[in-house]
Amino acid sequence: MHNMPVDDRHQLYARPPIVEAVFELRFASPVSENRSQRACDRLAKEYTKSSVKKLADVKVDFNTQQATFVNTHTNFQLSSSDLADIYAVSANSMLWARRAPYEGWEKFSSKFGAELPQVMKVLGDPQIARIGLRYVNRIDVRLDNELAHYEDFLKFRIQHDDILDPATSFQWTLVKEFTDTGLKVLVQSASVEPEIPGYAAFSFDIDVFCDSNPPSKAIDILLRVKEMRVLKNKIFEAGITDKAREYYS
Amino acid sequence: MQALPIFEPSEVTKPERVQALRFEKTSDSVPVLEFPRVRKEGFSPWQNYFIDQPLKDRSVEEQLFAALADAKIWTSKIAMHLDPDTRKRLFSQLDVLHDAEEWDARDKVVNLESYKSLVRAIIHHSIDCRPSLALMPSGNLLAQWKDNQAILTVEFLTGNRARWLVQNHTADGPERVSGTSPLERLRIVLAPYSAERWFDAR
Repeated sequence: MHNMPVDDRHQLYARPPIVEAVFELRFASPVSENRSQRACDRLAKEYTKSSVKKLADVKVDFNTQQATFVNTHTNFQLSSSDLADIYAVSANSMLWARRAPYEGWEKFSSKFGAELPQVMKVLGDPQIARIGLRYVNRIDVRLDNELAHYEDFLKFRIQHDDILDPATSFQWTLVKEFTDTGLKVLVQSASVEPEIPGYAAFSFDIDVFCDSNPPSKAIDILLRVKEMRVLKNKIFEAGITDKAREYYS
Repeated sequence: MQALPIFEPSEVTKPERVQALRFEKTSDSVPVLEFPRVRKEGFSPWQNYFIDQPLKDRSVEEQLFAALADAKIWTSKIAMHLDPDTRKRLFSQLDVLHDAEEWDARDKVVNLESYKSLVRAIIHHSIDCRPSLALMPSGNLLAQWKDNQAILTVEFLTGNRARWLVQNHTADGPERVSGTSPLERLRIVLAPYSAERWFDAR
């Protein structure tokens, strides 16, 4: 399996540990509420539920002990009936998300690939300031004598002396800029609340983004996000062990 | 290595909370670096906040949607351990139990902790057979498995516990046995009554 191209190998996971995959675009300047509403209306037939929420920044003046709500704007969200497929748009950004069970890149990218040109037009072809592709993986590790050997699953980890073994919990973040491609990555891992009896859990969160001269045309954005996905897969494959591969294949 | 630059991560729809430290940290005079995700719950001056109407003031449809959303979103955390058909069936049963047209104002929406207990039991005990579900007045889920005249009824409680009732017809007459157990022990305590006849597909 190791000799296969990363892209092909990545397709083989029958039960990928992806909790959520997100494709997000941030606008260089806010779009109007009217346009956001229309973008949501444009895609409404593709989803079964819709919801509207008000978003606000809160400004606190500690001297006068006053809090005020500023920059209130509206977040329009569409979702499938199982809440696995999401489209959300607000003044500053829009995103497509797929929650578990993840059904593969083809399905996810086909969905946002078909919907992106439609909403970009309705939004007035806004200038894009940032493109993000984020995959939040959750890896459940069976407890062995009350210990979770996460090193059996994750190759990226904190090196420390035995004096800290066994650690109760951990958290790390790595940031890297790939100057050749102009892509940046924010990779995080942490122990998270366990959900299954007899298991511990940790996250492996890979966020690939482009915030320097990102394209603003739908066709170019989709090409860019393809490159981002290749990098994301390389990082995932480099970060997990064969044992993890077996577990999710 | 450079100091960690401040990059805003891409948005996720439901950020997972990092496991809370079991110990309070010693205070420092000027925090140098604090990961946003380990901040204490409560106010943060640089975050966006959703302004929602209190749940009780929303329409019945919205209250039901919110209750189901919590359950369905939580399921995404463990969906890779759940058979896709089981997940589909659970969601469809939840939808039926929360049908707005049948909803009475006195009914309570599903208790998320009870739902979690049910799903954890399915995963932990590899339960293949799908139960029928009902909603208790408390919001707890009541699951029932039938095998001919032998009936197992389980109320899934908060805190990974289950209250169970076995109804059986023996050669000596009808029998009823009940108990409350930690979720992990469900198969063990039901073993004398042949738990596999309810849990395992043949």
